[in-house]
Amino acid sequence: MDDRSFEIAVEKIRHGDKDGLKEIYEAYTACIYTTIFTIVKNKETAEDLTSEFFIKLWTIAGQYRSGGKHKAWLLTIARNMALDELRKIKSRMTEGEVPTDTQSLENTEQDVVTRISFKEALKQLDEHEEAILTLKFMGECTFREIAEILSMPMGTVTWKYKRSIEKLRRSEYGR
Amino acid sequence: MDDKTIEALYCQIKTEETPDVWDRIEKALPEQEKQPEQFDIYKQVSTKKKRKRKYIGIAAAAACLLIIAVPVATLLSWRSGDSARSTAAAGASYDMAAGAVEEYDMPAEAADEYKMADMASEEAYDGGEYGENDINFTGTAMEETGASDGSETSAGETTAGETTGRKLIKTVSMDMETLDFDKTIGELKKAVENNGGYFEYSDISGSSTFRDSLKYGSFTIRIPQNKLDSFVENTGNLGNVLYTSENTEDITLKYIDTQSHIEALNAQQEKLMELMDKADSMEDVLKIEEALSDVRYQLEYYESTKKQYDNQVNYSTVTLSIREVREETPSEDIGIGRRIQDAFKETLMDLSEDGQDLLVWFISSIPYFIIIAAVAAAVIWIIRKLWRRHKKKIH
Repeated sequence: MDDRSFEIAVEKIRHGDKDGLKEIYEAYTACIYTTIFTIVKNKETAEDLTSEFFIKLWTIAGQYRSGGKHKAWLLTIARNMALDELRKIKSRMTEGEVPTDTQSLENTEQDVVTRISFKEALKQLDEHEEAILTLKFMGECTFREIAEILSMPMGTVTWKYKRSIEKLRRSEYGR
Repeated sequence: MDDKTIEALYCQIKTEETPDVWDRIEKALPEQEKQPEQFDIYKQVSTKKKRKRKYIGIAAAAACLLIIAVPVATLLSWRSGDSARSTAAAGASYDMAAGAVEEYDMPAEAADEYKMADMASEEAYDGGEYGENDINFTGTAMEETGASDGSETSAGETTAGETTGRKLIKTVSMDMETLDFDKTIGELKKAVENNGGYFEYSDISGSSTFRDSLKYGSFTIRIPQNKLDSFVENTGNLGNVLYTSENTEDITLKYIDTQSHIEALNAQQEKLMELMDKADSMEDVLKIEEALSDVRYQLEYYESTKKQYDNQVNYSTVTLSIREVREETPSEDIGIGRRIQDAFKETLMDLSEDGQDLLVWFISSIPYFIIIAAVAAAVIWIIRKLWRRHKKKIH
């Protein structure tokens, strides 16, 4: 979704038209969910937060300034929501009990070697690497935008991107 | 596996893992009031605002054009009458007119960049403060690189008008002697402190006890360039100056060259960062990263060189040696009568000192004399006894 389409969708939201929100949902739900999941590592929590995100977007759409970078705006809000939730979870739980969900990483119905191997390779990525790939591939952000969203130096972003691609290449599919 | 395949696979897997929560969202959405009138007002206001912005934009663009056009026209007419040599990267020009008056001109943007880089290099220093030595590249009259507030200039430094915009490294060497070494050193330290300088190297040897091993000090002192003259003058009053030399090295061209390199590399770095943003494939990213590393390495080298130059220019070097003497070397030509008198005096002094040394030696050696005397007495007594016995035998 380009900036112009996003602004039109936001305009619709401002005027109570749910179609505007639906358009944004269809364009970005996978990216938002993956971004949130990378941080909270729990399927249910990520689902809840994704829903909350779009409900929040419905109410704060008026705050978006046209001419801005809408992807960075959306993803920053999503990340902040996920980080806030993670802090709440950590403060409620004792040490060592940070929930992790491996269900989404297992897919026993998948018998294609490529997918399983690639998913195995995905497990090797750390949080930042996964966030960078999500923002790059799904969010179509530039390295500079990714650096701003993740508050990282651009050199670090490109270096981690390189490293994560190398890890994924080492999956069975790539050998 | 190429990048496109990885990207497609990644997006596919993540999209498959993403649940559809639209129903939940739709049910939870609060009612948003539709406001068609406001919508219209918004549209009108929005249109008016846009029109206003448009007019402001046009006016600002026209003003910018005027601001740029006037100085460019002036610059072009000025340049057409002069012989100048320009550096391509910085867009600066260095002009050497027949009367040895030098001017340095730099575009406003590069001047601002230079000022910011100069301030950054100032902040990196510790110990000592800078004098009023910053060079202001604005295309108008420059500040002096040497003494400030019109104080006198020293050898090796040209007059105020001729030093404008130059980068000069000044070094001074001095040899002096003093009758009271400790007092001189104390005053030297005060003078260095008062002038905002510091000791880069200090070595003191010798002792004042014996004539042949009087104290000797060797120092390397860094003084802010604008305080050099007053410092040299003050130091000269601390003892008897036997030798002094001053040297000035003009590194303006080298400095400009380094500055140009830095600006060119910064521009190159900016371009590479922009290319990085647009890079699609891994190969492109790798190539650009490599080029960026190279540019950054060169940038660090030139910035380090520039800092060294700044340090050497802003802080002059004074190499000073001080030796303690019993009598100062005469500083003027003297006649033969005076020479005989001085030589005679020195001989008497030497005799006096030798006599003192002898006395000290004698008194300190008395225990040895006692032992030697005792041994000698014993030997003599034995010899005398033996001689008497021998004489008795003969009789």
